[in-house]
Amino acid sequence: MVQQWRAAGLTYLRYANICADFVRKALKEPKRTEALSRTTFEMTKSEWSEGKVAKRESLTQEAERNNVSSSNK
Amino acid sequence: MLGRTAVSYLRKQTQVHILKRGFADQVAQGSEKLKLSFATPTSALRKDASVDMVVFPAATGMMGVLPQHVPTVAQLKPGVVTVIEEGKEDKYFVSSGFAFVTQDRTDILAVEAVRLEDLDKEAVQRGLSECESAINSASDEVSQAIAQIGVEVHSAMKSALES
Repeated sequence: MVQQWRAAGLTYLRYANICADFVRKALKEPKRTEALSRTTFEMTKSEWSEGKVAKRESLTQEAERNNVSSSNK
Repeated sequence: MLGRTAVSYLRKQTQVHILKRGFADQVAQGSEKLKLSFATPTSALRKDASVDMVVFPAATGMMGVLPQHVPTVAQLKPGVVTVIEEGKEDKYFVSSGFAFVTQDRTDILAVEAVRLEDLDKEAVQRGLSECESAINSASDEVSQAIAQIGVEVHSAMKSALES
């Protein structure tokens, strides 16, 4: 039997992370905030020219945002 | 020269024999404890702990592991991991992951593992109804599948809290 998430094209890794996310969101405070803050991360992309940062942009968590649909707050 | 080769050959043979255990082999006797490691990517809940038994939710059903269990690898589904040590039960909720049962130890690696009492009953109930309604209102297959996963995870948390 193929699971529905598999049929929809989700990978196991993504499935496992979605499961974990639901569990974190069901925690009591303050453990909830603590657990959720562990999962967020930030990335910045900097372009260097002549030894100086010419351009810096913050990369958003593209994949993460796709994961979190309106149903999955 | 020949003697040494023969001895090392024999030693290799015995080693292979010791490491392997089939269903029909006799269990080694002795005062046995189960060596358990239970971890998430961010924390170690048990590290080489000596426990009496561990019960975890394998994808194929609940699985109880006692010392000298036959080696196996099991995928975890959302559910309760019970660690029994010194007559006390310690309950955790795991989201997903894998369990490795080898001859001398058991490793449970979960993506997220929380103490059962840390789960919020109302949040679980709220999440369950949100996901249930999201299944019907989902616009594409992926968000429908995510809602379906949500229903499964929340149902597991709900029944874990009720038991």
